[in-house]
Amino acid sequence: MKTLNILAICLACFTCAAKSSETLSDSIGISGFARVVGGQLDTSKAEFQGYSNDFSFSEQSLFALQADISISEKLKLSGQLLGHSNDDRDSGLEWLYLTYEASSNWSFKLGKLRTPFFRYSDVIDVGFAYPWITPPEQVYGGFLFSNYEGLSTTYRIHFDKLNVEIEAYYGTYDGTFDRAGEETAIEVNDIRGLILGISKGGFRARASAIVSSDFFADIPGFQDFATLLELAGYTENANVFRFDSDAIAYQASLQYDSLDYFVYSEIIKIESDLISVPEVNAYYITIGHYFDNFQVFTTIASANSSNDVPTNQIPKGQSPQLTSLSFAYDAIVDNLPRYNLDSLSVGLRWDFRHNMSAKAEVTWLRGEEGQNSFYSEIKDPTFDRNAVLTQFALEWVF
Amino acid sequence: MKIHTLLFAILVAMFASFAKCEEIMIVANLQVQDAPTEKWQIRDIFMGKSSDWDIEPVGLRPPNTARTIFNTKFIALTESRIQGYWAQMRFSGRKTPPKEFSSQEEALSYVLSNKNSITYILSTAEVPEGLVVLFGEQ
Repeated sequence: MKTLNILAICLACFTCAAKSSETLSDSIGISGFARVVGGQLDTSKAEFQGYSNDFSFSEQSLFALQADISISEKLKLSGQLLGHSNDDRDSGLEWLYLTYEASSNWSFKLGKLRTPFFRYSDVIDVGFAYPWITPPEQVYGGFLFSNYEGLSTTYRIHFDKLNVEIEAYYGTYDGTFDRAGEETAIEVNDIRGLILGISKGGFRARASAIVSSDFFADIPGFQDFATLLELAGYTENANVFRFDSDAIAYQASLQYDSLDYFVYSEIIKIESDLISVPEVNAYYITIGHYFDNFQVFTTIASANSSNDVPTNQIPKGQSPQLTSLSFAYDAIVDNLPRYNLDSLSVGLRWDFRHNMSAKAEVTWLRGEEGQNSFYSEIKDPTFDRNAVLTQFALEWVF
Repeated sequence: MKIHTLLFAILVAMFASFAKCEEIMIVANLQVQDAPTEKWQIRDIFMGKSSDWDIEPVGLRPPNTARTIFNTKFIALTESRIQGYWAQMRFSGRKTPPKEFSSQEEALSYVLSNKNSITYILSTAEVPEGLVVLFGEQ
């Protein structure tokens, strides 16, 4: 937080300083983006991304303003303010950081930054930047935290036509953690990530890994339960309810754009021995065609999840206390949400102005009975986890 | 009346075919020996990719004929994709798009007064003295 306060003061000072100078428009760049998204699910038995059987505009609509202030030729301060229509998402300062362009090869950033987990994670709110209305939920739907406070370094180089970019970042996160619809207060004191990006002509490839460790999660009862298990001598089972291990997210994506068509694909794997973060394997492939100012595209996406939980070693029947502990352990483990989901979607995007587009998308969801399957709420337990989501959006950048 | 209509139709057809043949030139304010010689180098400069040149790209605001031709022949991406790319670069704090002007006269005058800058203009335009033509002939 200290870094943020200092940066906020710097922002205020430089805004005032820049205002008094004659080169106001040169030193400050104001830009922004906005989206209005409406959608409806064809069932009243569940909600998906907050969408229910009633048409709603309030789940993903947002407005953001970004200020880029040039302090010197190589030093820049950027801030982004974001307002969400969804009450579950925090509105306010989304990022605030200093960029130092040391040379054409090296650049450094310091401050509150977006966590670049996957290909579109750092622009997830900028709907104009991607074809879909919502990037595939299986990959982008959860287990992530949107920003971090820390430092990032980028090195760029090219070998003839091949452009290579390597980014390394380190930081911490203190906020909430989205577990596919559920929010948990969490602190992550050690986030380390590495991204390799390669591009050549219309091809772009990206591979990355991010390790999150040194967690503190505020899940009521877990600490107490862990202490009980430890006192009874079942350390391995106790550790499940503590957060002193790692979660690692791997990602690889490949995309190709031409004047007529595009193919975007991404695959991710989350490895975790934390009880609140499942192991996830997910991917999507999108194929699209451009004609005039339109693009039509189809996406298939899939995810499956499991939880890496050690076998219950607490005996049943030896003593009433141990038996109840053992049953409690089973109950928690059996009730861990699982996230298997296949989907197919068809979308249309119309760029009616160079900075505005209208989109429509229909997604057929096929989950698995008895699972969470990325539904944000299941109202009727008999729901078969199959539904159709229809969405419309207006995107704007300025 | 009929002849007039016919003449008009011919003129329209001629204009349409003329418009189809429209070409652009890449002009720059730099020494020829320091200039990029390949199309992909121009593309990388305008897309903000790492390059060996310290050259400032200058673009034209859409909608613009020269820009459309440039997008198709040099960038090889649709306007929509280019806008999406810059939205991603700008709002993830990576890169900022090239400076843009609404007319080629303004772009030319900027390039003329800024060393090591580069822009694209229609081949029908007059190239001011002091600028070099890298691609396209007049």
